Amino acid sequence: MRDWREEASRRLADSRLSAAEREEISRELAGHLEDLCDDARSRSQDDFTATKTAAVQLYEDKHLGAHLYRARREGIMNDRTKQLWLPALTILLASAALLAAFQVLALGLYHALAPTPIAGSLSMHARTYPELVRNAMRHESAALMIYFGWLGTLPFLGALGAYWSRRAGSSRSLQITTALFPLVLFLAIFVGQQDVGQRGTSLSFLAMDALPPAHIFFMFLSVSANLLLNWVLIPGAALLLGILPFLCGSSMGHRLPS
Amino acid sequence: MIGANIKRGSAEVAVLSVLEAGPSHGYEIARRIERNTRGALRFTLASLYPLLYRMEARGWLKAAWSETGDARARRCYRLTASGRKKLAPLRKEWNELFRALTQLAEAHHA
Repeated sequence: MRDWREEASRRLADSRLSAAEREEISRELAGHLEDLCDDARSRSQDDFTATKTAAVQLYEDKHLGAHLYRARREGIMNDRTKQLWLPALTILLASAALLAAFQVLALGLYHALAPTPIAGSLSMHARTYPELVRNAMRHESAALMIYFGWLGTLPFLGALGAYWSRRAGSSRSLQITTALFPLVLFLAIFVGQQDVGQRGTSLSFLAMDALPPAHIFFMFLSVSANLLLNWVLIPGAALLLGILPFLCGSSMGHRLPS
Repeated sequence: MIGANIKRGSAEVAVLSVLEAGPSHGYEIARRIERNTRGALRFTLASLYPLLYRMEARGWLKAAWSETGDARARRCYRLTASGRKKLAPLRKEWNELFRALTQLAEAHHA
């Protein structure tokens, strides 16, 4: 009788399976092939035909070892990780990295255009008023360049997240959740800036304590609304823009029962 | 891509359905699927084991070595609670798919 265990082990020798895994799988495959031979014999096949039937199964897939190796490793990353966490965290980090990159670029450009820092200029009375205005305008331009440059990348990140999630076989709602995931970062920025804004406002209140409470409240409301619009609503809309093709298109990517 | 998903999805439903009836080893699973589908679904060694290992890795199946009646050691698979939970929605999705395809085919003939 053919030694199927030895043969299966040889068949898997060039795979990346560990020795222990190879041993266990060979043992299991050998059992399968033995049963297959027995079954074939019980259906009145001769030994040669039965052995040939089993051998065909062992050798039909050239990449059997690779397929078994990949299947064994699949559990390392479950469906939720592939469909949500991996794409979502990637685009979250990418959006943070792009924001930082735009800041570095814009600040570099700002310093190239205005070598003297604003604080220094303010403290030095030698500067004339038009020069200060020009400096402030450069500062505004740099801020706008950071914001709009970064905003322009968000539809692409949204699309990337939705596409990646869809490729992994997620549902449409999960594709949307994945693409909108960077909103977590934007909310953090919003909350952080609001905190800084509050502190800044409270400091300025010391100098403006003559203002009526309603005025202070509406000032705070206006700053909050501004931050919410700039750091949550507009970036969220930009991300959604990237998902639109996935919402309008067919649901072909929706993984059928798996 | 959709073809691969259908193939894999249907194979998973088949394996889960067979194991719902009780634990079984690889060859027996393949034989029962072939018998229950009157030969429409057939698994070879190369298609069955990567699928079983993948499902085991996902936690849908659990395998353990056991002696069979002929004193041979076989790796027996049984459904886990997670696999059992997965089966119901999968069946529903497949029923919906087949119903839709049948309707489509009937509409085409009409």
